[in-house]
Amino acid sequence: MLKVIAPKKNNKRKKLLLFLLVLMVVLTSLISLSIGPYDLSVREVFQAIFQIKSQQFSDFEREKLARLIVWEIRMPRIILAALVGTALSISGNIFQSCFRNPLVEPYILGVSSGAAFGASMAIVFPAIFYSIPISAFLFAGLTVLLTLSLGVIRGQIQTLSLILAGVVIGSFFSSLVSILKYISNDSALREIVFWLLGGFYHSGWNEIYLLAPIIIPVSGFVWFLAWKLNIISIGDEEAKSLGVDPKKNKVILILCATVLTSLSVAYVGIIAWVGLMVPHAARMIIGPDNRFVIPLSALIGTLFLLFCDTLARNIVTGEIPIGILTSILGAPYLIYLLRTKIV
Amino acid sequence: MLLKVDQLGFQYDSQPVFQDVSFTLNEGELCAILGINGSGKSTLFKCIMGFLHAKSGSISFEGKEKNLYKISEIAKKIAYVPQDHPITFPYLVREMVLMGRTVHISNYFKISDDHYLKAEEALQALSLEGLADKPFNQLSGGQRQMVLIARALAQQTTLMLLDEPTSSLDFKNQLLIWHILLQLKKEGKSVLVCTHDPNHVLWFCDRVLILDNKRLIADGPPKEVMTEQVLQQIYGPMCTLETIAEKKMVLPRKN
Repeated sequence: MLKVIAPKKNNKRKKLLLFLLVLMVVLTSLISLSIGPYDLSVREVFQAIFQIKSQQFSDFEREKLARLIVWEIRMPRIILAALVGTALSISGNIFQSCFRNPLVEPYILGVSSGAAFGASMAIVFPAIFYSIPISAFLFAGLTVLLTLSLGVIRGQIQTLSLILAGVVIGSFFSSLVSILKYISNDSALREIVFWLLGGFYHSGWNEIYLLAPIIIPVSGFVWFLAWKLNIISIGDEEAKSLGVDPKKNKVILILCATVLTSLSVAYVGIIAWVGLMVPHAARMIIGPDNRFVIPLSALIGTLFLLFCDTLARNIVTGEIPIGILTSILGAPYLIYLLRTKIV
Repeated sequence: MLLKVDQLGFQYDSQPVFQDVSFTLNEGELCAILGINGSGKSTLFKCIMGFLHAKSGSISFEGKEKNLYKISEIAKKIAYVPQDHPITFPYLVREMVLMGRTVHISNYFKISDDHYLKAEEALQALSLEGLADKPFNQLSGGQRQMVLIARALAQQTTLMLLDEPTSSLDFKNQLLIWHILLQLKKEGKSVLVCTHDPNHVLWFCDRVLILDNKRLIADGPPKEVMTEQVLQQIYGPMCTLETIAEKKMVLPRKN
């Protein structure tokens, strides 16, 4: 009589790994909460989080300040980093699996260029385009629609034409951004450049109230489709013969990925590399099964952005845009992949 | 009657691949499709599977127009073994075979033991247990072919379509595959298999469909329809049909 031991044992190990990563995220968040221009001890962070009053009267002022820093400044930033890290990593994984190409990133369909154009328009013409995130989000959506309408030929999603369409539309919007940079004044130009590099400077609870109710359920929904994503990632014809409609599922998944990416880009700018390398790292650690890759990507994406953001706001007195850090750390990683693991 | 193909025609742009192909397939039949390279065997399979849309004619399955079935309903009834191909992501052999159970699994996050067992059984049937934990990508072409067949077995369908399943297998495994196909036939299942080896057809199949010059030129028991004349029509004058130890064999012609 056959027994199912190996695959189950394997799954148990993977679940344990996910649990460990959750612990690491919690730990890193605590550390990140305590580091900053105003140093707090881990104990003070704890007291601030759980609103524990200390015994000594003299600490009252410092406690109030600690609570303010933790709850109003650092906490929203950490949560936003986690949301964006999750969104970008999961959407990167969706694109890589749907296009069966591990070198695809979430900006492949032109989301980032569209968002950049929207944001730049809002910066240069604040009177017309009322809000930067809204304008960025709308243009990001618009570019993806344009790309999809060019890439879908005779009702079929043609991967190659879709990617080419993404490149074309992307570079078109990039040149529009260049025009805007060219005509803008110094302060607007500076703002555009900063926006393009991405960062969590504007993190507050309002952003979280807006992003969390979309990013969390959409990510959950994508996770729910993980097995189907596995099947789609081996090929359209095989997916069909195994009972999974490749076209319908791809459309749904790509739409989810687009919502995740454009929302993140709209609020924090273009953060490079995360969506490309995180799913890759996750697959190298846990294997290609998306039931595990999706949660692991979300956790690694969160950890990576938390780490980079903590660095970004601490290594110099001002703040470095996080996009610079993710690229600096991401480029060597990609070189490493190209030299060793290329599929 | 399981599968009925009626006056099917397919063309790429304006170049016809085949036309007027009609045949029916019953339960418990092991039927081969024979034809030279480019004769449209794989295209015919792809039309039957619904990957390509035929330009004329119709296909029905169990008496119902095939287009009326949902994709998941078809996957419960027809399994398809594609030609060997590499994949992008390094799924393990075990995972690849488990994917054959997709339409039967109700909760993908809590796959029951039964499905794992069916996958294990399929692996055992092809003596692939030793490869179960290897990435599919790292296997040889022949091993990959075996895994794809195991996946189709795990799918447990009434009809199996195989596209040149033995093309890159060693002789032992070729015999193993034919043994498995004969076993399926015994269980009352139907098998439609594309092959390039006329001798395999003569030895193992009850029936053969021969595609030549865009049409079906023969349909019947191999021993009857694979005459010297038909064989020379498709393979040219360099082959001959001989009987050795009461078995018919296609051999190269001397001189």
